[in-house]
Amino acid sequence: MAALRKRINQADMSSDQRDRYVKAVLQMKQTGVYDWYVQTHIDSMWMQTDGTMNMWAHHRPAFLPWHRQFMLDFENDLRTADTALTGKPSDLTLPYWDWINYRSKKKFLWWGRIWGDNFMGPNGSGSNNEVTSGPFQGGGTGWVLSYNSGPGFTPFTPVGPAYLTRQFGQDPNVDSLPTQEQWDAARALTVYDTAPWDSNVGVNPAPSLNPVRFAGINSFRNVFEGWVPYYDSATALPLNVNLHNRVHVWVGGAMGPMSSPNDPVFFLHHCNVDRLWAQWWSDDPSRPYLPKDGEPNPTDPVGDPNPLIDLQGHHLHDPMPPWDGRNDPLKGTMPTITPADVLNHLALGYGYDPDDRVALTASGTP
Amino acid sequence: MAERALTHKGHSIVINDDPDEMTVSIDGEPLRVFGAAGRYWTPHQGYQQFDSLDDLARAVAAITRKPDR
Repeated sequence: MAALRKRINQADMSSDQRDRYVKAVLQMKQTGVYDWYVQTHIDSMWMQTDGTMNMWAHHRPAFLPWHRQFMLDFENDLRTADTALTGKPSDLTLPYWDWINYRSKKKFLWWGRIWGDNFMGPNGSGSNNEVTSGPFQGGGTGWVLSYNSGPGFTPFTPVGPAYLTRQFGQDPNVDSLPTQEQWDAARALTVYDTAPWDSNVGVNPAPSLNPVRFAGINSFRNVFEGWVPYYDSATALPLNVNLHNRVHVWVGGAMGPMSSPNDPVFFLHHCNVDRLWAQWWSDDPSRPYLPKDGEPNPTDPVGDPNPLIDLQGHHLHDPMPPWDGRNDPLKGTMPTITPADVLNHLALGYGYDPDDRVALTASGTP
Repeated sequence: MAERALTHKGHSIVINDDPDEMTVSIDGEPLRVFGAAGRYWTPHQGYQQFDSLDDLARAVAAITRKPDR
């Protein structure tokens, strides 16, 4: 078996790695490959011309496996771009943004690494919250955002500006990043997902009845995606945007709508989401992915995006669109990928460094 | 509640929160909105749910391209 690719903390990247990463991303943008990821992410939660609304990748069980394949494809395209630029086989991997532990052991902020002008660029500024320095500043002849939806989808309007925007912590409900305590509370859950398999799982309409620190909720997926309120104590006010969602909203600007991959930090964020899912699964690889095949579509009790929740693409062995054999205008014939195919990240050929797994091998057995 | 109009960050917003025909538009462009019971959602701000359609519309308006740019 080939050596595992090691995905590293962005704070541990060398200046050469950061430089090559940025150049490869800019190369992908120039060739149109980057915008394929923006478009595919839009399509994953957008309306087709026949009026049906997709939920390929959010509010549903395949949230984690869908994004794992999305990230793996992006990493492969990144390496292709790096090879094209350097003329050598690429050893680039996706870096992760550990948004929980963003300080070093000496308590110095790693902030400048990720948000420096030689990597992701800074927070937005001015009345437009525009990112005005770094490699992804722009609009015009610089980094131009894409809002195109794919063939067979309705146009995505209204749209944001052509330039990158960020508003760190400016949402009145999200002035901080997720904490270790919140992740530990999510990690302690043992059931991947449960009916009705949407963003209402584990959400009690009566706030006083919500469990403290996610206790007893039978949906690691919905908690980790961020739809379940977090109560630090029985008398605490809830945090209503959590974990994965909280990071999107905290960054703000272009990270808010379904075109969120327009901000390159999307991929560092979701690399960390993937790493944390790997931690959770490594805690006990015998935990099953749910729903299993044949689970019927439930009716949403409170009118989530689709009244009838379509689980196609979310059962264990369902192909996950767009990895369903379709002919893609840019990528050609797409492979068929199911959640079952991507549950073990080591079997996909990559790991995380540092890696705290204790019980997992590429064969999926302890 | 009847249809109502407001402005936010230079954008015009029209909201109708009749459950049978719930609509929100910004600068004349309709949004796809879903939900009820204080949990409203739109793919235009896809990572949070909102207590009210007013909050939802303001959040989308905040990231919508300015008409003059």
